[in-house]
Amino acid sequence: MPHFSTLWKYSAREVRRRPGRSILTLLGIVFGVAAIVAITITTSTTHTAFRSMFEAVAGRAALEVVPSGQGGFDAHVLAAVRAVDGVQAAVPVVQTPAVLLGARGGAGVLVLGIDPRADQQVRTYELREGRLLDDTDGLLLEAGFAQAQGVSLGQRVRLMTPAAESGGILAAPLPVVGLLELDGAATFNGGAVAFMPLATAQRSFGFHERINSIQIVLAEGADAATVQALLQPNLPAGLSVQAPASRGELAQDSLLSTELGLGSLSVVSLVAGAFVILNAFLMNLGERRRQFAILRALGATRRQVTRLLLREAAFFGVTGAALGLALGLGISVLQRGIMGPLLGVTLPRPRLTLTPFFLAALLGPGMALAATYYPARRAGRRAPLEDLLQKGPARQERPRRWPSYAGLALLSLVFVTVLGILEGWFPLAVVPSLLAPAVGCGLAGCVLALPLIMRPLARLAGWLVRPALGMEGRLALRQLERHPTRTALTAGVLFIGVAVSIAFGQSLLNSVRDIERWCDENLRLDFIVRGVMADTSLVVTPAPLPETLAEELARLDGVAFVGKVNFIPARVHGRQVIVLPVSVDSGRDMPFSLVAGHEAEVKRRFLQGEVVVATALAHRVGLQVGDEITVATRLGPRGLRIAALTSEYTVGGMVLYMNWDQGKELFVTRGVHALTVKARPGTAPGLDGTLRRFCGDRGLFCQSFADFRGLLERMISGVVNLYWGLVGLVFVVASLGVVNTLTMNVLEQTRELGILRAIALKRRQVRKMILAQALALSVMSLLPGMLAGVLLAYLMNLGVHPVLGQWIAFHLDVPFLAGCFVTALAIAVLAAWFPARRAARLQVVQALHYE
Amino acid sequence: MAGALRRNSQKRGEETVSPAADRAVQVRGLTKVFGTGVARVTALGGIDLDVTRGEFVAVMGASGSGKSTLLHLIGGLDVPTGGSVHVGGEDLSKLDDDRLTQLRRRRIGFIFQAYNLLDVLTAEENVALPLIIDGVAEREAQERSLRALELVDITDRRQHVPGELSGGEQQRVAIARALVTNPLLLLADEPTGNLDSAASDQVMTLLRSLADERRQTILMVTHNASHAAMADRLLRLCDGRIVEQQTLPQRRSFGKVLEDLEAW
Repeated sequence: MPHFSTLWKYSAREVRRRPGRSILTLLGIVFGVAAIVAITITTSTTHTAFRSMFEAVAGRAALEVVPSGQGGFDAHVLAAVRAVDGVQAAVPVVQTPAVLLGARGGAGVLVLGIDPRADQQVRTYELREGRLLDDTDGLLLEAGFAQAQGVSLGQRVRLMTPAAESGGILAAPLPVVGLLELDGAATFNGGAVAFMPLATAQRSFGFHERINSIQIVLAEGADAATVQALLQPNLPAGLSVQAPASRGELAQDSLLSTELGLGSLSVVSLVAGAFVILNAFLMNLGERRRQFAILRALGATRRQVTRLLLREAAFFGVTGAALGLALGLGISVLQRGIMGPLLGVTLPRPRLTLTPFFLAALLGPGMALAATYYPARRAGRRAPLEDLLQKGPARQERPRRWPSYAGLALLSLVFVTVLGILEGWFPLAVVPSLLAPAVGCGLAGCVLALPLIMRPLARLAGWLVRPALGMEGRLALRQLERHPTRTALTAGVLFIGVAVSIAFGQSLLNSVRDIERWCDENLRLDFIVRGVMADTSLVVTPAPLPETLAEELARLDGVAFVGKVNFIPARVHGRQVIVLPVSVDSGRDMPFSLVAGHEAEVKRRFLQGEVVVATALAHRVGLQVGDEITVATRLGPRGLRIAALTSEYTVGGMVLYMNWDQGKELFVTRGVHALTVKARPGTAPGLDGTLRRFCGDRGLFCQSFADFRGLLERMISGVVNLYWGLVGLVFVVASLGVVNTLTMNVLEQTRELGILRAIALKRRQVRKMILAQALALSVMSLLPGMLAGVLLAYLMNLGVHPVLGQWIAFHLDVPFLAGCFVTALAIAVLAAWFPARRAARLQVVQALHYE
Repeated sequence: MAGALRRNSQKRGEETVSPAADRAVQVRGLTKVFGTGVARVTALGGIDLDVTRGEFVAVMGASGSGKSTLLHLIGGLDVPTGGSVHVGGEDLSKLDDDRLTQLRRRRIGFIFQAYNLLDVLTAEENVALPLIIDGVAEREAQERSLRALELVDITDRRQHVPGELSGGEQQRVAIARALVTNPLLLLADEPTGNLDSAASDQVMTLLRSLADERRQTILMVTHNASHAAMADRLLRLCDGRIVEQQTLPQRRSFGKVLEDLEAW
């Protein structure tokens, strides 16, 4: 059995000898692994964030009984629940979002009204200061949250409630009797949770001795699904049993398109990284072919040579995995800072599971081995004699054709997949998960097939470069033609950089443009008033305010109309959605735009009880205008006719609109979550000041349309910057690939450059020659790269349709494309600087003797 | 007991007869053709050759005469178009790549004009390399490497990489590497081609002493007549054929001369 320490020394010293090449290889792996790890952690953190928030606040409760809508139900249901086999404890709760008015203004908070004695069976409280609740009025707050709101122990605080009977907008102040550690139920939304006695909550929020949740702790050994099945038939209509975490399901839908994009980007990073490694390793092997020939002459078998190289690749893979994991963890922390504001909640710290480590351990070495297997095998199979006798650069090898055919096969597969998506061959649920692999395969296919068009591209490059760069250009092109495989791979790496930038950039621009269009067309308001800025999922923080507020606002000077909107979590065909009861004035436009249909006719039907459904929801449940959509209400399941469809980005389009009165009837709405204000023509500027004063006096949150638009742009910009950051990394790695190739070309041309310098060329001309190579490589990669980028952008556009249920208009941003072209060209030229300098500085005599 | 020069022109089919057990190399009808059609070149046109164990054979000829091709075919680095090569009794044509490689590893030592050392390894590590590849334990490989370096008198430079050694020193390291596996056969392809006269003389003296003292079988290609004259037998190739053979008894060591006398 061969001992490897001398061979490991050989490998290690070879790696150290080519630091640039080694770094490039490592970067390819680090980048690919980091992207996957970061995106996996971020996705799982955001997916689990909402679930774990609601799980945490539910304590030991595995199930809960909840009504459809915002109305409460009689507490006598408790007896029926407690009687079911498998139920150890069932406690009554009033759970509702509210606004806490602290020294620093209003803050969204989840209020839990609990039975102080019975609740011990469900939740444990880590008290930092003060005391736990008893039957008297009082509030428990998480210590950090209290401090952030400028609230201390013993202080009285106000909460906004919808119940006019409790004293108008502001409930009677409640004393803070205890401060909790950030643990258990108190971790909800970063500590934004308040506990009060059940009776206080019922009184303050207008529940009149009713409750809106029964939280159930199961007996040991009891199965949740079994208990749920036993319990449901015993409940009155309008009540359902669910896991507490399912309250957070909707957040996943609101992130779906973002996650699709990030998922695609992570796959692309892997593909780009693999090609960079392949490029670097092929060059490595080219330089070391004589060494392998020596090893073969000394008696190393083909397998031994192959294994030697695969071991080197594995070393890079393991090192790259470790570094990529660290970088990925760092990026995920950054992403958390971006996703939190996007979602409008405090995300928990990324919970480290084994998954990222497993992914890094698999992908790092996996990528490296996959990318180097073919070159390693080739190196082992080379006849040693030719390389032993060869002086100077290797003779030009005929490039193999099969990788190009494999590329064509991949492209065909992608074409069929796209066709299948357009023709509806695949179930809707599957389509989003096809997008990332399709983009990755498309990119890989393009790079592999690129050599098939290298010759015409080289001719085109020659046609463009030669007039500008003359004889130097001719020499440059000849060198590139001499090494078709290397040239194609380097062009491929640049191609990836350009294609990825254009694909994701164009897709982003189109998406942002569509969101802005939706905002401008759908938000038919001048101002919006609410208790606090809601989270993106609309399940955590939309706090109810008294309906009488609408009348007060309507009396303000300059106000033409005040609309009411609520956000009610509900279930439609088994999916969690948000139902938006909205008030509609018969003399005014609908508060949203329609995808199709005559607005007047739709309004008439809407006021008669039909509903308007977001295109994404309609697409997911497979319904169209005129169909009936089944909604779980307090009165049981109700079939409601769809009057029209609307384009909607709120909670990922999982939205259904109904008229205000219908909402009250079906869901017992408590107060109003948001008030939209339309100003009389020409009065908006003046009304702005009036409204802000009005809201300020009452601790309300007021936004003009421009404010809302600006907030939206800020939320989006975080994600957009994240994309650009990741795309920028692709470009950095691509430019290193160019440096690598040009340096290798310079090395191989050393003798030739020596001759040229001896007989004719000045240093400046040598630099120009290397620059010409960079320009030629750019032309060969930018043109197909731009085309591929546009096609990929279109593919990604298609992939959004199943998510949003509508097509996003596909525009080509010419300035953006031009900017990508110029940037890529500049990067390629900059990447040529070092090799050009090296070439120009060659000592002529030494170069002439170089072999 | 005069060392008379005997001139032989080997004709096709004539054999230099040696007892089979004593033969390190046996070549019959060896041909090598490169290319096809108008580009067809016959590098070797039917070579018959026997090399006895312990014999030092020099091969000379003009450029393109086929001498390096002959060496490569005997060393298993190339595949003949026709004929057969037996090394240590093994027919090379019957060996697959792995077994051929093993043969090269254990029974043949190569010395190249360009030294062909790995420049990231020290002299000691370069010498140990064939043993490491063969699975010998690191410590034993190191010890044997040291002995081989002692043989070529370069132990003081053993921790230096090839870039820090002179041409002559590098070639001595290459010889040590070739010897470390105790090969049946040493194949030297213009071992002094890149050396100055002093270093060349050193290397040739070393090779001669290996043949004399260790009965090392050596087949050497050279352009240098004075170096060729240090061998036991000289072959002259022309256009892929052996056109002349000379046995050179006066270059044998005194001990070998006494042996001949006793045998007579």
